[in-house]
Amino acid sequence: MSRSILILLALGIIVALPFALRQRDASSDWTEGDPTLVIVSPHNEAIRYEFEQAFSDWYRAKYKRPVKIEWRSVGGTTEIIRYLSAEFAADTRALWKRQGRPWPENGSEVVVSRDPPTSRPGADGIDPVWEKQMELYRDFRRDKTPGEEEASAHADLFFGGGEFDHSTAFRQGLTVAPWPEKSPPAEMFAMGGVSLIPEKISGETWRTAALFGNAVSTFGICFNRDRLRDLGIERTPEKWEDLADFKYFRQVGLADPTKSGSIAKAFEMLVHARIHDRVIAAGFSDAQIDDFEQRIDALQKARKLKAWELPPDIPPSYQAAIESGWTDGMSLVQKIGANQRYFTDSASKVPIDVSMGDAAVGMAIDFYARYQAECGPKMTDPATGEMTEVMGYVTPRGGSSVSCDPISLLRGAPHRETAVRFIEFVLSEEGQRLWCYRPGEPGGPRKYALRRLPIRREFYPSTNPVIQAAYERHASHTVDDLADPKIDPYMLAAQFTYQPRWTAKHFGIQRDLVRAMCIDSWDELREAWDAINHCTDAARREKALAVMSTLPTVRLTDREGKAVEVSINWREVVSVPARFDKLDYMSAWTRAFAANYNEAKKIAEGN
Amino acid sequence: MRRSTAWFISLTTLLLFGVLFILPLAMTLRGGFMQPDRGGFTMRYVFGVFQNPVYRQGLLNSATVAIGTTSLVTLIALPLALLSTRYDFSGKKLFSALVLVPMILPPFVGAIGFQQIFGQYGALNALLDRGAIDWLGRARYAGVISLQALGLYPIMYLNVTAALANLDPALGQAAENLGCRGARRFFRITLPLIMPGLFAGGAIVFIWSFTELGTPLILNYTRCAPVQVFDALKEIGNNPFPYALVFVMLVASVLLYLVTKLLFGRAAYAMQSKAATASIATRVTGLRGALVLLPFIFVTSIALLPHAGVFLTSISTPGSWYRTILPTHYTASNYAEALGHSMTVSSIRNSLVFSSLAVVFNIVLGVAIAFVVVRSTLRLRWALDALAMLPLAVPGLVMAFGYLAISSYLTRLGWVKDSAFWKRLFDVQTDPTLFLVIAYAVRRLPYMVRSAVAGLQQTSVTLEEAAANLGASGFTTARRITAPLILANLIAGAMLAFAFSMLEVSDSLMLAQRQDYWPITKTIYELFQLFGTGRYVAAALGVWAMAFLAATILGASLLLGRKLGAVFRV
Repeated sequence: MSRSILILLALGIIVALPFALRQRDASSDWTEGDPTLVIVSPHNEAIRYEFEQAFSDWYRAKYKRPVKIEWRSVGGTTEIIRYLSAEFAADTRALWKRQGRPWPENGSEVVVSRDPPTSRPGADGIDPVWEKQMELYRDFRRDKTPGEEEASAHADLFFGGGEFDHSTAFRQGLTVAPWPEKSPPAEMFAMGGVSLIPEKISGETWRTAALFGNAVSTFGICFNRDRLRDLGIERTPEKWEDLADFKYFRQVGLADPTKSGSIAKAFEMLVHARIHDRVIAAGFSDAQIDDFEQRIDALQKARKLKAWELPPDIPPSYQAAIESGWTDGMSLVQKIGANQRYFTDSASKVPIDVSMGDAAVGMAIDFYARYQAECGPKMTDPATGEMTEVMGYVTPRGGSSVSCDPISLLRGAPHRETAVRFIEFVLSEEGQRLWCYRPGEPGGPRKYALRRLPIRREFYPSTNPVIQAAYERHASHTVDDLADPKIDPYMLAAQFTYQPRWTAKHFGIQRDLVRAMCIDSWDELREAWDAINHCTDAARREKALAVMSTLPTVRLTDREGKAVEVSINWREVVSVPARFDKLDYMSAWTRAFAANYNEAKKIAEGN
Repeated sequence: MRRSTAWFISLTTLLLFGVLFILPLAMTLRGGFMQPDRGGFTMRYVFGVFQNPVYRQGLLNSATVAIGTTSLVTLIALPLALLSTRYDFSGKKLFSALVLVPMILPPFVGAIGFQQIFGQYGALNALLDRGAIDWLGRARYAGVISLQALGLYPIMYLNVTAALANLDPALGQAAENLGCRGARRFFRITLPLIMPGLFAGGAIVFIWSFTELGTPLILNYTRCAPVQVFDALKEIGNNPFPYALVFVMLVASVLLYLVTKLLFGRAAYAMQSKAATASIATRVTGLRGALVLLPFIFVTSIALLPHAGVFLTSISTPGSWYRTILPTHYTASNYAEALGHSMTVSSIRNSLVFSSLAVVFNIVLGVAIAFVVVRSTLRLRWALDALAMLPLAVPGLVMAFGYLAISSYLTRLGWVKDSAFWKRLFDVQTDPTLFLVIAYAVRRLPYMVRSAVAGLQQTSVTLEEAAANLGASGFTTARRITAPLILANLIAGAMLAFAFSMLEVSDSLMLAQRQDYWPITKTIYELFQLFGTGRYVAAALGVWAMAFLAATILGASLLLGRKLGAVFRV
């Protein structure tokens, strides 16, 4: 009996504990009738809390009323896009039904599709299905007249995620420009004649009419100093190439480019950097590259050149260097993939694992890595004798662009006015301070150090005296030293010049390639790579390595039913998704890569 | 059972099951059967699964893992269940309860627990002091199978213990009387008699491990069907392929289930009477008692290692458990932050409400299905039986997308839109309770159905017929005769359903969108997302959840006191 009482008592205590420890939130004076805002966001609780509190204060100061934010969290960005697409499709369908309009075939897919539907006209040149689909597609995206009913996801804003996701959402028609075309409030984006939020930088889009970057980040390499020593690696990694060293076999934590646009971008930059190396090695200077690419771009825009054609005065060796650089880049991705411990969908997993020593190195977003390093284990630095963090982080030289975290206004936002003000707030100095100020500092966050990098130029040092003065005003309040050249995103972005022609069109297909080459055929790749590196016969080793890194040619049936040979190279691979069914080429590639790897393993093992 | 009653129950359950499970499932999976552009039915994605060698191998590997896990689980659970039924020894009560704890590993932080113990710089390597052995990286089949088995054996243990409890000891005594003893008695008498329980546990373990995602992900074992589905589902852009793959996995699960059922699940011997003897357990003390206790200590301590990892993480200062056997610095502040957080209290309340409602719903639906399956002669019962196992095999994300789609459709109907009541019921953005309860209930239904089926198979129908003969109505018979006879099985099923509802992830993450309605798993996820200290705080809440579930299970067995003791014979 006493034992039952004991257990019931324990159960009682367990249940009572959270009630006893419960912390009351700062009481809010929000009452029914005050403005509300519905925000869909993958941001974590710390960010949500700080922005909600600060926005309500800001709003009260400006408009005399507090605001309540209802956060909608449905998981990561992939889930958000899927969720919003489904909501808009369902709402449009209900709207059309109410208006008595016929819903076209496959309407739910067409309405939020990234591209307009394709026409397949019959013998009479007319495609009635397509016409109806097109009408739906256009009508959904049309600017509505005031008072006209519009489809809605019953949410106002999409806050956080990557630029790729927000661009996708815009192409799908899910988001709209908050201000009339090309006329956002000028004072928000300029100070002392300097653009505070550039539209594009280092090949990344930071701002369009519909999406507004508000925090920025880079991808880099985090590493565990203890693990490196254990593995006999003396130099800490500095470039992506370092991760291809066999010493890192099974020790590289990678983020999965097929599941995240920002990570796919990081992989693109890795290949881009490789092309740059090849072009420089072929004897061209950075000035020449800029000059060539500008001229090619002008001619292509005038439709006088095909993608790979050059004007006669640019040496063919330039184009050859780009193309071999691309192949080289893919081969680098393959070797890093061969060293992988995993490709994960969780951006926070890699730095956590590396800091715990469960992986030696990994690919990580800068602020995750810095945060994790600080909260992770410490060690005595053998050189200086001082305590230092076990985990280090480096943004590879010239190997990473700086990408942004945007906010966008959703179509049919029920609280549009408040929503636009929230965007203003996030982009204002008051909003930006939340990202980088220490908690408790005047104008800073209340509880959590968010430790993200604000996008606005004035938070970083500058030669422009107005900007520099603003920077100095902020500098004493920030958690991190924003003038550190390893941190300052404007300095990091300046190290990197992006040439869209080199890799932009390969962005989508590269994800498929990584999947076929490293993820789906990982077992075979790993075994081949292991065998090659344990092969003592130099000639066999060389041969096996060549077989492993061959990008295979496969036979595919195109949409017209014709069988063709398709090679994986810079020129040809771009057109693959348009010409062939994804199911076919992915299956063929996976099989071909796996066959190569098995062959390479056999050679290396001498069978 | 009267044919008309059987038809009525089967059609009602089929209808419920169709609306609550098949419809949301179909709404998501139809994407795998549609031509791009124009809609129109196509099977090419389904065939595509078999064209790609990687996916073929993935299915094969998953099947191998499932067979291995089920065998290992049986090897672990069966002896333990037999020991605990046959002997009375000191520490038995404690370990009979502890043996269930492995299955309540909280999500997200569970993986951290594994890594802290088995990681390259984890506790095990610190203890062995032989360098950074990569246990998690090198484990293949063997690793996945053993980790899964250590998490899943409680399911088998519960079912087999319940089956043994239903066993009339007189049969064993009769066998011994006739000279059938030891192993012979076990294989000739006991095993055939407890087959329904063994099959119930085995079927759940088999399908669970065939479709398990978490363990392969922790061990980076990617070439298996569930990981491939997850990878494809998470892929950016609209890819119809994962839905086709899920479909193939479902069909494979059902086929595998039916094959095993044909092989092992057919012969069921019903007991004519509930055991009349109060206790048949032999009291063992001293060395013999210790010997009996040893396997319990051994299995439990290994199975609880990840839990110990989570617990130690929750009380360690961030960064202080690294290359050491135990953390070097301890703190209580993780608990203060986790339990004191404004999201925590409401999420605990929500989880309790959702899970309890789901269990009630499950008992009703589960018993109804079980009745048709065991007591009717309808051909339909086979289909119903196999269908009821399907929810185990469907990835959580797929169901969550389906429920979202249904809610979104209902919310936009005129009569729902204009009524606060209907909106609250059907709109997950306003209040996700209905959909979360349905989601939890449907996904946990297999435990209930299997337990109830096993119980009914072991209980002779003649007892019910006798009651009917004496003038009892169907309902009275069910309440006074059948329910008490299968109580042990119902409790076993309900405990599993409750515990796993409390720990449910995918639906909780996607359907509970407003913080007021977050269940505890979503709060653990949100805490986990906080940088730096997040996983320590999340671990603290995870430990709270484990403690709560453990205390509930212990409390339930004590509250029911002798009653549960009698049904379980512990």
